[in-house]
Amino acid sequence: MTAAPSSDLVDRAFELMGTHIRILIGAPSSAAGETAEAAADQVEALLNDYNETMSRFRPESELSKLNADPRDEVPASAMLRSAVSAAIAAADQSGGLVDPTLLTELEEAGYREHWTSEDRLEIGDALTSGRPAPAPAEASPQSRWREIVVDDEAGVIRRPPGLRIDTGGTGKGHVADLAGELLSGFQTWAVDCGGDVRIGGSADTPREVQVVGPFGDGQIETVNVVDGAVATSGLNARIWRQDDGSVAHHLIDPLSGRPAFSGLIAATALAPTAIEAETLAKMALLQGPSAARNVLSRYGGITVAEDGTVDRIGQLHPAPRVKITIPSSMLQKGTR
Amino acid sequence: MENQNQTTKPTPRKPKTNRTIVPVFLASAAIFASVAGFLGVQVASGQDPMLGAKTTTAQKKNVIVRKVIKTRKIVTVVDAPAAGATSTGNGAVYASSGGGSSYSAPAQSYSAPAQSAPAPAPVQTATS
Repeated sequence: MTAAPSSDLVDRAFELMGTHIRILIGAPSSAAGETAEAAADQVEALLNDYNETMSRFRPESELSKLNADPRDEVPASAMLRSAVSAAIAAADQSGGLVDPTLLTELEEAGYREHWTSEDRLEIGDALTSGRPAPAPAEASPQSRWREIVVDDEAGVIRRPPGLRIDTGGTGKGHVADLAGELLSGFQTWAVDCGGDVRIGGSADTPREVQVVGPFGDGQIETVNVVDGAVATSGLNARIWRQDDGSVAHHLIDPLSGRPAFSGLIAATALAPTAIEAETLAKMALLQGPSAARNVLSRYGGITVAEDGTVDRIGQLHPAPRVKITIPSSMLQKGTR
Repeated sequence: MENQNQTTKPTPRKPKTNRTIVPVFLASAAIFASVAGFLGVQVASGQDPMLGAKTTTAQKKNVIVRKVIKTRKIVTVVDAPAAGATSTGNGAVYASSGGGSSYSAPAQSYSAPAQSAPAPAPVQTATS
């Protein structure tokens, strides 16, 4: 299969953070701007730094050191503070459903080491036996994410010692957004961190995002994005059978502390930023088909149920086009 | 008693004359005009006293000039066989096309930017 010609000058793909990464960059917005290759190098360096800082599987990572630190207050780099802040914001946005303090529960479910696809259970097998009846996940009243405080002025993170933080639920979306900040000087760009895709560019050119179904049935939808993000969360990629025969995966119900089976297999969300899209996708997936419609109604999204039903949610009918032009003189005054 | 009453009766006051009104009015008008003129000159020169004293060069604060651009995203899903079409909703610009959807395609036109150059390469989103 030959790739169709595209306007991207850089199309770089590699594996990192236990998933695939892809960086696409078009022409610079101005002739004086840096080259797409140089920008891609910067983005790749950022992603590597992020991985080294945030990996919970690396004892020497700053996050691992924070989780092991016996002090209440621990000095933290700007990147770690930013990532933890993003995780707290996602928990807040989701009402505690996307909880960064469920690392113990995740490990008890069997996710203790770097994920390898050799352990993956086929979703069809997973649904036949060894899993509980579908039920919506709920936030836990005992949730502890509110005990985490990020103090940017002091450059520290405060939390009770022993309260471990896991940014795995928000990290890919967060770093995709951070990478996008580096690419504002280009006409078109996209950063794909394991299916959490941030897209933008000064040319306002739509980029096609193919939504791939969880049952190995290929593309189920195509979404064109000019400036925004699309993220997919699902059970099928990281799902395994435990020693007792029960099926487990990496999305934990905060209330039960066990992997959530809500009746949905995958959820794709659109949003202005990748971390918002990732949070919305997880919220939809955790809460099940009925609540997912409300969760995804604002920006739009797609859900896939256990029986394979695909539900497309959001604005299905274009609204009238409204264009507001602000005189440049007002803009200049507004800058004073 | 009658005489006493007569003697204690206050004598009617002489009506005041208007001789002092004119100079007081003129003085007030002159003061008002001078103050208004002074303030007018100050305001015209950009030194509005209501905005505080003019900062000296040494006291001059840095002014951060910041242009805030808010981008509003509009999500629109379009069921159409041809991928890549862009429709506009109330703000921004998502469009979608795909198979097996349970909704009908909106029968209305939408604009796609005229592109002589190739489009950006597609990307995929899936569970990972």
